[in-house]
Amino acid sequence: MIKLKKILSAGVTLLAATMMVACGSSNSSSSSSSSSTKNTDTNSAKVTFKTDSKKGDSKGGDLKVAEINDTPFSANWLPEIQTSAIDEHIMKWASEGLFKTDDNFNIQDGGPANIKFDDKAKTATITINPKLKWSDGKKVIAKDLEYSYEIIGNKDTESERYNDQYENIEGMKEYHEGKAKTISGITYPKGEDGDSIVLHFKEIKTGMDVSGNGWYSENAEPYHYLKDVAFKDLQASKQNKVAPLFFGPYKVKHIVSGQSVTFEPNKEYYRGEPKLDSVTVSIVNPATLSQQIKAHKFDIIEVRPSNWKSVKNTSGYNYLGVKPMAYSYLGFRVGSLDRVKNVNTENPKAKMGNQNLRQAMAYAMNVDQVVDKFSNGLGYRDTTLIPTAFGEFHDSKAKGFPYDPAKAKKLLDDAGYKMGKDGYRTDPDGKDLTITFSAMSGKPEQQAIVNNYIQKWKDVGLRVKLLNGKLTEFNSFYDNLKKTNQGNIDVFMAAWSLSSEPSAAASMWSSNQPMNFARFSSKTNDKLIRDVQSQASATNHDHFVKSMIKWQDNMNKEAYIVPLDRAYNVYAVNKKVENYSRKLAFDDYYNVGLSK
Amino acid sequence: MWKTVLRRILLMIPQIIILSLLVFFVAKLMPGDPFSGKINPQTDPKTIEALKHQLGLYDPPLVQYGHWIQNIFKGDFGQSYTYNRPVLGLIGERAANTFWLGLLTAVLTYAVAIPLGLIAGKNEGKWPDRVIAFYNFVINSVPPFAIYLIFLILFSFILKIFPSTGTVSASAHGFVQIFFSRIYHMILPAIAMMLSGTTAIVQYLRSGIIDNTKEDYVRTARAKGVPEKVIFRKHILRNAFLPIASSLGGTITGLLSGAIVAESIFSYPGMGQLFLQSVNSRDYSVMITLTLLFGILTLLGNLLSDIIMSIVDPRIRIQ
Repeated sequence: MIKLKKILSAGVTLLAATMMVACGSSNSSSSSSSSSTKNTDTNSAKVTFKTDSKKGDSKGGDLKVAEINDTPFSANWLPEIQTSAIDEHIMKWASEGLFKTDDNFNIQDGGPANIKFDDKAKTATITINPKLKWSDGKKVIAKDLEYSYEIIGNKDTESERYNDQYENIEGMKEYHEGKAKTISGITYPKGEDGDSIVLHFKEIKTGMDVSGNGWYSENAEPYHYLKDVAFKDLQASKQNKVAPLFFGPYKVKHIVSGQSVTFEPNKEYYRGEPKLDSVTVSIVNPATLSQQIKAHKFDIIEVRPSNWKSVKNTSGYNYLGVKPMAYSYLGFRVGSLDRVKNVNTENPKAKMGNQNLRQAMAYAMNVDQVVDKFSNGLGYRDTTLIPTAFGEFHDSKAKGFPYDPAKAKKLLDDAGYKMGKDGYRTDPDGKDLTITFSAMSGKPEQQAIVNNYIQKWKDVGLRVKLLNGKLTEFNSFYDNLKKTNQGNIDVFMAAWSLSSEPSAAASMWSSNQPMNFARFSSKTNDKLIRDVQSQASATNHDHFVKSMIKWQDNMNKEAYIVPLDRAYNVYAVNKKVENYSRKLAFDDYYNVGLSK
Repeated sequence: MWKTVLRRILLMIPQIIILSLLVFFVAKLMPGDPFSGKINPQTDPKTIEALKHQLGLYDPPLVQYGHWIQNIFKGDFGQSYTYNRPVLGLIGERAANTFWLGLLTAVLTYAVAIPLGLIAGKNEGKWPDRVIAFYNFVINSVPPFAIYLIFLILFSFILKIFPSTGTVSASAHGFVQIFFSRIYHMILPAIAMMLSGTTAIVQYLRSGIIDNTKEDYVRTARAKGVPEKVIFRKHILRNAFLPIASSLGGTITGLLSGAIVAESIFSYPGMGQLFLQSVNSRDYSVMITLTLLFGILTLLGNLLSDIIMSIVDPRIRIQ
């Protein structure tokens, strides 16, 4: 399965959250008010979860899966032009990625295809498993691998997947701009009908052996099935929306537009026929989630933190959970972006340019208390910008910013932010200091959380006001952040979902990234990111890990971006379900079964 | 009369043009665009910018409006940014869902409300009237969304009689199965919406009957010895139906405009749900097409009501 899509944007997720509220989700229970508000400084959730269901080898059965969303799915099934995480989740029963991975997303041999890098020649050779066939019985060939790049690269498909990273493949840029009919950097050693392609890169990059790296496509598309569809018609075509063709363990049997997809076993699957008779994935409104679980209507269904208390004692389910590759963060807006050169420049006079001030604000926030109160036990405070889900790349020694108002006050005193008679501090020049804070509306508890933080900042003498006195609607919020100048925002609270390849999680904060919404530019930070992306990291794993740890430490020191909190992703999984897992890298849908 | 109808239809043209201008520019004034939600560290902002240029989102608003109108005349309402498919097909699909649900709801509403109104009106002050008044009082004071939620929880989750989501079961195959599955999925939302729809009709009909019973022409008919049944049917009932007839046009066109709240709660993919989603995701092409459509439906509904009134009430003439 395409790990790249695992990142599907924070935006999409957040949008879903916004909409959930817009529809008056009735289940955002107020039960949180009863939970304790005791002050702790632990940095982990109160519960731990298993990630795997039981093992077994039962055959047959019809599996019912819920996909939580309050609107119908958009039905873009081809990964190259997919824009919704919902579509991706639904189709993963049929759409398998080209490469097998271990639990940490490291690509391994033995999947639908193998990839081999030649660091000297700067090439990668992808070889297709000889047994691999499309579900219509046709063999997967070299042209099918290449066609994925054409779909991503051709402007007519309007694919959002195309980016700078693909331009590291020779000839991709020329193809994208329409200057070349083919992609010169993709060659066929055994012809278009052969079993392999060679990718010619300009450079070998860090993380290329980790799934989700974004330097090449991890999918193939059936050329014989799609060749008659013009690229501009691909999105609306029946081959994309109604009857997509994949090589995964299941194939689409029938789709009820926007509502459900029923899968049946793919008899041509390269590992043999899968175990279940059918899988049905249905869209379920988040407002009804608790009731769906209590009524046992589904075998696999997500539990949201607001529902956790009311469903956690429902029998018949195992609750599987995992910490996601995502975090929410506090960002300090200190500069502006030059759109032409793509460079962020820090404004030397920026209000939030003082490191002590930024650190003080971070230490003054009681994230643990907020997590305790609002996540129903599922949340935890993050300590670095690389979540624990990244395994060894996460700096386990980092403490992040535990609540410490005394330290916050000292930092401010040391930097010359003097306390005035009105209980608020002035800036080092003795002028009044008012900090403008922007946060997104959406979650029902958001206002309470924001008020809590503003109160905590006041406790250390900082006057913080919400932008326009209120939470900002999702679209306006990101429109503001995307602006190239600093605008009127000093501090903002946002979130990212990350790709499974760790270096990308660091490089997104370099000064040449437009998505660096803090608009900061730090020479130390840029240097550390260059080390993460260096050839030394690309070829030496230990160096890669160390460079990532150094980067995290410096980010916490400079505190332009402060990690906040996240909650476990929890799923209620029927106790009869076998060989299923919520591990982030889980892709073995072939083995999932249902005992009698 | 038909000349007047024609003139009213012609008058609708400038109204629709003004409506389309308003809808288009107000939509563009909303913060964000279809790509606002698509931020993701791996999506290159340059790609998004290029796509926005490609799709004409940076053209001057008037030029965009011109393109939009031009395309409408060619029958092209644009592509949905969210669903990546032509707007017309998308709306068509949802309109069918909404239409059948609306029709079932309307039929149920009248089938329940008219007898209730008749009984209440005929038995003014007696116990059946009081029971119905109590029913009206209760239903009218509970907000519709609460009724929907109660129904959903009671009949779908506790009693497990009806499905909680969708328009058709994933396992239904063949015409007959799909047909019955569709009806089965509509019953719960239709009954829930019917409940809140009955109160006004019951009330109108009841007071219509009571008022008309006291009219001079009824007393005259009684004095002339016209049988009570005939008086009720010809003189009382026909006049009592007038207020209901006056809203009939809106009811007919309303079959297509859907119910935002009910469709969201019952996860029923109809026009109302589509509209809400298109606003949230700034899916301009869908949003403005739907708003325009709802506007036209309202204009048509008013016209239809006037025509119906002129047919059923000889005292009213469209001038």
